[in-house]
Amino acid sequence: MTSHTSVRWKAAPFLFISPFFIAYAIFGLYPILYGFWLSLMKGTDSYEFAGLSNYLFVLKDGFFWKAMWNGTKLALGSLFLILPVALGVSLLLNRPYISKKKGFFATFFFTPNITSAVAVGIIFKLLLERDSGVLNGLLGVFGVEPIGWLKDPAWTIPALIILCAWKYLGVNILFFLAGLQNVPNELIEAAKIDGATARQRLWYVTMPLLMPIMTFIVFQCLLGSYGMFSEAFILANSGFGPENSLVFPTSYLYDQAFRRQDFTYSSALGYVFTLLMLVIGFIQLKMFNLKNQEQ
Amino acid sequence: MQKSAFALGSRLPVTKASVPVRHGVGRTFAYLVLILTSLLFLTPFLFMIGTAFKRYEDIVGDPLNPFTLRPTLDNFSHLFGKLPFFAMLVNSLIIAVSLTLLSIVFNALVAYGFARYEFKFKHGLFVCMLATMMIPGQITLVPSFVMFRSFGWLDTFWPLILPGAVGAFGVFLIRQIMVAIPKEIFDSARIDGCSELGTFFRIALPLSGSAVGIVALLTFMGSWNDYLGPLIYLSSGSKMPLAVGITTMNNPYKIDYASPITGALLMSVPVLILLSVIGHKYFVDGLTAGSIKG
Repeated sequence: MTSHTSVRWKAAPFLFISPFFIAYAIFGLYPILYGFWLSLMKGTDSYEFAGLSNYLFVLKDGFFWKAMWNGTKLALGSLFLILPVALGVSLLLNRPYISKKKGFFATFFFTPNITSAVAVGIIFKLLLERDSGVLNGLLGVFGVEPIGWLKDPAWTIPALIILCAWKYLGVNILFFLAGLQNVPNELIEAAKIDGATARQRLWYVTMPLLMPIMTFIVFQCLLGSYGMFSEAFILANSGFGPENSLVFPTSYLYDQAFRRQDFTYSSALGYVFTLLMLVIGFIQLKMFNLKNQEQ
Repeated sequence: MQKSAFALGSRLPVTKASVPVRHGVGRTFAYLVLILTSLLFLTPFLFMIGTAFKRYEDIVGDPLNPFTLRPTLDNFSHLFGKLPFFAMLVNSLIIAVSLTLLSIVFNALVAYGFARYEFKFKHGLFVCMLATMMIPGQITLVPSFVMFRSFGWLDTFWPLILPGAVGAFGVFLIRQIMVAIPKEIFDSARIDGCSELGTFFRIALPLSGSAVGIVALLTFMGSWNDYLGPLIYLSSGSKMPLAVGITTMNNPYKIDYASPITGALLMSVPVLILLSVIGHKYFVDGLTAGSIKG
């Protein structure tokens, strides 16, 4: 009896956690390995071994690097435009006299985030329309010539950044708010008494304490920018936009695999993209750790 | 601006009356900024709602005015005429609800395993699980498709439901809450004759309701809004969920503003209402509270 229970007791934890590992083996690990095998092949119906030729092709594929460059532009836009605004709004929301109404405002900012990317894409296609769009209409009031947000290749990425600012500002505000709860009020008060200005308090007290959540936010931001698909795809009418200015790695991968039926090359693209993302993530973590150690 | 007033106030002798006035200005300014930003965030929604009731001439001719004085229901009848809208709604619901139910059970089971027991390799396995979050989904896009094709699952809901049923993020969120449940509660349930599985269903699951709620909402939203998945795995029109369905109406010959926007309205408004009623508490309070512990 006792031995029976103890065996059951030992097996129980593994039984409970097994669903994750079984599911990941089938839907994660196996496709990852199979994808590597595929990436070494060539052909559409029957595969033959092609060595690393697909990878060499990816390295020379200007279109793929254009997609990565677009991802970089979106990432820079998000990091230097969306995140500072999110931090600013969360600092406002974090003031003691607003904290009770924090949830009320946060709902406004967060709602776009739970709206489907497809719906958001459709809404912004309407708002950013060149001749009858709301944004150009408003700018026209100030005498600005109509901008071809979705037709002029120079303006498509700014248009996408506007969309992303609307959709993703809220969730970043929530993350910053979570981080700000780790900043003890006493510390701010102490800095005040020592005569630190508002800017000094922000830079030397609040920011260092926000570093852990900042690491996470920047990582999410990079992953989301390079992984952009739905919004850009909808804005570009299920394509790559004018002069391919809205092509992103995922849309290129999708196009190669499901429109050109080139599974082997697409798998290689997926691998190169993943490796690049891991490298970017690693560099980012290193940079933030170094910063943390300095302070 | 308002903060520097504080800094001065703490060092210099300030008359009592002047402090509240300075507060007042700072506060009004903060509220003004927040209210204006909130309105800015609301604007695209207003235009979505308004445009769905506008005539073509008004959409093109009077774009700055979100609401028309002569509303029409033509866009809706047009949309229902062009699309099997209710079939698509049912498809979206079937996929999202079944995925959500599975994800509650499986994420919580795994979370319970990690929260309740001590066992060999526990830390290593937990780190392994979290590490899977670092791997972008693009790497499995094609091989998963080939795998599901070999299962004969193309144009079925399975590829959209099963892979999402358990994931590192969901497990992590629920585990954070379950770890905080005192061990004595589990032990006393065991002594009272409850089985391991019974302890899970009767004690652990109900007591971690807030985390389970967040996971359920995030899963539901993720599935309801998913675009790439159905685009890849489904081919017949009768099986399409709304996210893909409402994009299939674009007429290549004439710009149709109203039908997609009406579809977008019908697709997002019910979910937004649902979430602002039940989800607000979970999202705003829960997500911030949950991430502190993380």
